[in-house]
Amino acid sequence: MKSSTVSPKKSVQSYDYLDRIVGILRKYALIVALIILIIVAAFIEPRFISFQNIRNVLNQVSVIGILACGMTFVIITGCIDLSVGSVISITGIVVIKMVKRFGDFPGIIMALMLGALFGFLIGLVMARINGRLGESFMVTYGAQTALAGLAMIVSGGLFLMSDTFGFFSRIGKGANPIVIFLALILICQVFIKRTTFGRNIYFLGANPEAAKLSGINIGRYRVLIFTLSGAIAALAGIVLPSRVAAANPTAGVGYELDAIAAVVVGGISMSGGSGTFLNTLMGVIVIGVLGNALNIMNVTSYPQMIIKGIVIAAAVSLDMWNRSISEGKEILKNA
Amino acid sequence: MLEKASILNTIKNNIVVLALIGLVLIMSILSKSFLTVSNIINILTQVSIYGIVACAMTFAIICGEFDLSVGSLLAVVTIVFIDMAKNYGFIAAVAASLLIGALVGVINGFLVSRVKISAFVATLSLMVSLKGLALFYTNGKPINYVHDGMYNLGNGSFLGLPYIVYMFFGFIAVSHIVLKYTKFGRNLFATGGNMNVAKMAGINVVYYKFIIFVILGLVTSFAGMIMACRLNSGNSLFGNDLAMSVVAAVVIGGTSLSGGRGSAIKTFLGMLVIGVLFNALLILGVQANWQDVIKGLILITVVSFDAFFSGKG
Repeated sequence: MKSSTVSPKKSVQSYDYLDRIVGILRKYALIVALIILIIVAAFIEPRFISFQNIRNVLNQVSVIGILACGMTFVIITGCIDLSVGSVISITGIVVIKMVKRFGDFPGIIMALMLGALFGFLIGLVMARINGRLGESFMVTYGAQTALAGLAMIVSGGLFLMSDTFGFFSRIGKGANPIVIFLALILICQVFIKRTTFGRNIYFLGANPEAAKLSGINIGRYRVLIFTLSGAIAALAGIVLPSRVAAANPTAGVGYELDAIAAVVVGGISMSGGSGTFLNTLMGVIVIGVLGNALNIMNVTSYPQMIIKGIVIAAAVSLDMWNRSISEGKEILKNA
Repeated sequence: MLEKASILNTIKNNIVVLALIGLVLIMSILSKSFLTVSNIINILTQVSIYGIVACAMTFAIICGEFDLSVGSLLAVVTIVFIDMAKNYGFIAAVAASLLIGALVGVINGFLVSRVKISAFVATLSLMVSLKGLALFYTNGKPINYVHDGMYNLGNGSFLGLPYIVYMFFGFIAVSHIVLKYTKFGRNLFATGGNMNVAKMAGINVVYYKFIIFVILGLVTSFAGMIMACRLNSGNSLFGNDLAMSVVAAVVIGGTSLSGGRGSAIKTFLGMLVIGVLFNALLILGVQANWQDVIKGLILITVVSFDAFFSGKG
């Protein structure tokens, strides 16, 4: 305060002006970065902004996007779910087998129920031990290992081909995965913002002890959230094999990390209690556009991994920077 | 009531010892080849390299953090070490490996302690980048180089025990002494137990949160060099399961993931439990996929027990 009164007025104004621009850039840095990326990519390859390519980008990210919706619920409650990749693998195999044996709808429902069941069991353990991030990390990693083994056992380690006709095969065709992904984002956003359940999820994530004391049955919420995550992972596990008309016992390996990356790049904190599905949508699009732009610039997949890691760290660092500044201002205001 | 509580307490404090004794007893009944000197040496040798990383991971977990990037770092180090040893000699290879380890540790430490990103996300991003780097450097192919001295370091033995087992024991002993008898160790416990209280007591918590990642980076690069010597090869696939196995071993040993509790001896026992378990599954001829299922379920069980006994249940 003292320094600003001492220094000449003109320099203060210019400083404020600059500060404001920096502030805006900082706040919307992710969107700015996305726009710059799109412009650069479009400059190198004009077809980048064609309708066909935009649809292509959305199609590529739709499975990760669906998965990221479930992950968003889990992360908002302050946990993590590493098991979803293996859930994709196993439900992909189960859905193809069951659709062949029982028909389209019973097969799809069975696969969804199976995913929900795995999530339910993880949720039961988490509720019983009243775990948070650390415990959920270990428990869902255990589930990931076990389910990956189970996927290999169920499939016999083989590829499975699905029929190329019928309802199941149409789920992944054309723009359907995009529609499913965007609809899911919308439903989840309305759900978390407009219902008591949604508000309690934020409460649970921000402060589980306070949530418990105020009469929320946090154990039941943990079970529900993990069940939801399992069911949504199963949905991704149905879309993926439907799109490629085949399932593979290792199809889902690494998907959980991509989903987590999308969620945190979108600006949702791992400490829980904050974030919306618009963040998730943003993160998914950034990851998708980045991958597509790098493909167009002929960057091969290994350097892409290096860049992806740096982008995750940069996006989260930026988010932390924003957070610390806004919290600092709040402290000043209170004082 | 009091007696019941004290019995529960004893079980809680020694559950890993009981598990180890139980496993050994069951296995020696089931298989004649289990409780032989050669098999015991075999188990120790197999857990040594990961065990060395587990020592450093114990420091991190006691301090309330953990590191997912160690597996990718191990892969990068094996590749750089072999490549440098082939072209510039042993000393340059060691220097480059340690430098990379320290650099990765500094980045991780900076992101976690200064930028205050959660360790999970910070080390996840490093894990992805380093794995990409390892694949990019080698184009996904293993690189090989055989050198007698290096081979001997990784595979030779003294009095029947391989050198790497002595190194493992050495790391355990040093970690135990540091954690138990030094100011550094006590401050780690304080920082992990309750960061705010530690800060008010005048402990530089930012420094401790930073330095554990540097230690982890250096120790992992040491383990990577040993692995490269042992296998005469650098490979981007090495260490894929390192982070998870090591964290699992530390937790099985009884070091709490929430920080502030644990010891190097417990990590040693946890590593032994994992080694004996994997060895048992192999000796019993359990199919690889079922091994995964069993490992996963055991991990869930152990974490549940840990949370249950630490009074959270």
